[in-house]
Amino acid sequence: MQKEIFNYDNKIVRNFAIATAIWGIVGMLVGIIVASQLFEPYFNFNSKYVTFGRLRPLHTNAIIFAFIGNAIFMGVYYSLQRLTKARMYSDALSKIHFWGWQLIIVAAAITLPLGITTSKEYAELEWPIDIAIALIWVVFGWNMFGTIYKRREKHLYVAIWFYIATFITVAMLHIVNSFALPIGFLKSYSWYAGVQDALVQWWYGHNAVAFFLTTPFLGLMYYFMPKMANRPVYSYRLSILHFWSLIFLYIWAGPHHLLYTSLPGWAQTLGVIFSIMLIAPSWGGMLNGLLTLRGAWDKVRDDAVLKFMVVGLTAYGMSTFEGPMLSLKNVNAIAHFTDWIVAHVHIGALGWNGLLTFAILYYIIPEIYNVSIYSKKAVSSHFWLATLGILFYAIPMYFSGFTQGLMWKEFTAEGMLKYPNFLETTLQIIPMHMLRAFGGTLYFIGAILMVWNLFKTAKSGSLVSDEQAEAYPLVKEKVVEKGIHWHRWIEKRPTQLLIFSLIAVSIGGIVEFVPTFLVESNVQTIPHVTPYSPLELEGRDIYIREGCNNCHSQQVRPFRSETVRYGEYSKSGENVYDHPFLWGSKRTGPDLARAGNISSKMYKDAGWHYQHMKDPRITSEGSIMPAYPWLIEDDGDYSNIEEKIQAMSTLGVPYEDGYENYALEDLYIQADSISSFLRNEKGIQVDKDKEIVALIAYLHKLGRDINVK
Amino acid sequence: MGKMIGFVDGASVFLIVALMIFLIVFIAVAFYLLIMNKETVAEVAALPLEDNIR
Repeated sequence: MQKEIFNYDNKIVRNFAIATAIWGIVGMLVGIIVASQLFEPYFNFNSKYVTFGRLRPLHTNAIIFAFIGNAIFMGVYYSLQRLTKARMYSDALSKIHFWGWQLIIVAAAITLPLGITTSKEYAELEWPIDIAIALIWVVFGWNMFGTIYKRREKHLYVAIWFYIATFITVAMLHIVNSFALPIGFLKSYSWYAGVQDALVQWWYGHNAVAFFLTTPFLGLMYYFMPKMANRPVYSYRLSILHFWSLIFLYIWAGPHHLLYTSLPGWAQTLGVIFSIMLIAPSWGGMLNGLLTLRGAWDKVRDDAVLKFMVVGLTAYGMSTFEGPMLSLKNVNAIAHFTDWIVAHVHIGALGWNGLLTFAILYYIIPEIYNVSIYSKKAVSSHFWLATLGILFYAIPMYFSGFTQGLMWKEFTAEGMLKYPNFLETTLQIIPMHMLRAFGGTLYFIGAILMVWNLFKTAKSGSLVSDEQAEAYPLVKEKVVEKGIHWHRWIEKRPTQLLIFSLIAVSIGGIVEFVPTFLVESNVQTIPHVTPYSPLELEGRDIYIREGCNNCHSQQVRPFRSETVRYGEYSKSGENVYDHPFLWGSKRTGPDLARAGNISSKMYKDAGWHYQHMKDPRITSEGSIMPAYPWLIEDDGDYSNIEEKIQAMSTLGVPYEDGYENYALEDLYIQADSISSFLRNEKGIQVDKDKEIVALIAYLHKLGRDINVK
Repeated sequence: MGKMIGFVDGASVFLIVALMIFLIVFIAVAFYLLIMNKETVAEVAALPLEDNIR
């Protein structure tokens, strides 16, 4: 049999590499800006488009989907061609994939600062962009499977299994979590409400970490670590066990993001148990990667690229040990809502994803330009800048997290909260936030150095767009292999591997969702909790637009420290009309679940809210919250309140029949009463049309129904 | 959302069946790994190292 000569498409790899570098720089720069906003509100620049609430989702989306997303595609397109000994299935699909993904990122960069958001973390993009993501993801899968089907290598190496699992699981997560009812071109309401929405969102959110930030990178690690170390993976057997255990167990762990909330206890317990079980496959993968270097550790001393891999894998091991520990309820009680979680995710993002991406870029660019790296010294400097940056980032954030968690819970000997004013706990951690921004800046400077080095490397060589390779064609077996083990059989069959992976990742979701969606006792209703009035609904949409949920939670946990500070703990029945839920995941500011409950210490009158939104420093000296003067200046757009009420009715919110016809009238009656109160009681002249009036109406709805007897 | 039902009879079976499936697959895969041919393992593990034919 004669060998076939064919070409690898390096141009698409180069394009994704460029996109990785550019979006990485953009995402990190936005990260430094948002980090600075948390110690100096001046950095909100008094502009509605760049407040923390709007920029934070831009930062997370830019890093996850733009920087890391493009890095995944770069690594997959490079390694898949070589592992299958085939050029990508279609150059046209490769181009559609590349440009489609970049357009989605640009759409995100435009819509998020404009306040066009669903509010669901890491899934903030509105429905037309969601559809575009699904289509482009299918193009990626089509191209990947087309390549696999026309391969010249019979066996599917374990890296490809991880790519297949990534493809199918991300598709499933994205489609299920994005179910929404559109009420206009760029506005929709989540199909799910309250506790059910929270469960679906954190099933998605946790598994976005698992199947976008972890499994594709494990696949890349299984390819690039042996390449860089020039030796096979430590244990191929372990990699197989690692794969199946990881994809099955990961999907169950989402509820650990909702401990002590009103999610049913059994679902929380499942989240904890599976999180602990996850240590085994996660560490199996990490050790398999590190032990690949056995007998070659001397290379690590001289090769900065291997250093990136080693520290990246170590960061993976640290965060996959810390994650399960954070899911223990006693640890979570202190850590949740604090900067501890921020430190944890950044060990993963900066350490695991960032350092592996840098290593892969340093490996791929010289390879496809057929040249050596321009400056090894610069690679080494980058490594130390990145490592120091991570340390300067994470250590202050751990201190900050411990400080916050403990201050929130501390009582005096007399049984009073030692720090009853939430702001005291915020001001205490300002120096930590400054250090964190410094750490992020070091990491950013390192990335700039890398871009310069890679640019110079590319300039010193020329791109081998179509890299020639040769391999024997794959002969289709006509004879059925008898006695072959079922797993050996599946290792050569991508479709079956896809189906088995889908089954493995579906089980956890089904077991958690079915009872929560079907069984009444899991979401108990409260008779006197009423739907939002039209003005409150508009105020809620302003709250979502401004991204208030990025800093304020709406979930009082059943701890004495929280019920004393905020009021009665939250119940699932309070949120049955919340499309989407707005529980948040971080308390940069205090919880607002009882902001409208007159018996709560959190209750403030309309005059206070007016002044606070105009400039938070008027009511709360030293506050780091941005000012929102445009809420006072801008008129609310209530032109589609009819559609909003209709949409809510479609989703099951019990407005009376035909209510949408006089919703606007009701809206202005309520707006007039707030405006009159401000004028008559506080001497504040504010027109009833202004956005601030709607926002005050919404804040005064939060927790109000709990007091009704 | 659709109307919810009062309870699902034997709902706990869901979890037990799910765990059983995992355990059976885990044990079956582990057994396969034990009996896997050494040459096959070595051959497959070396795949990333033989791809650059240039």
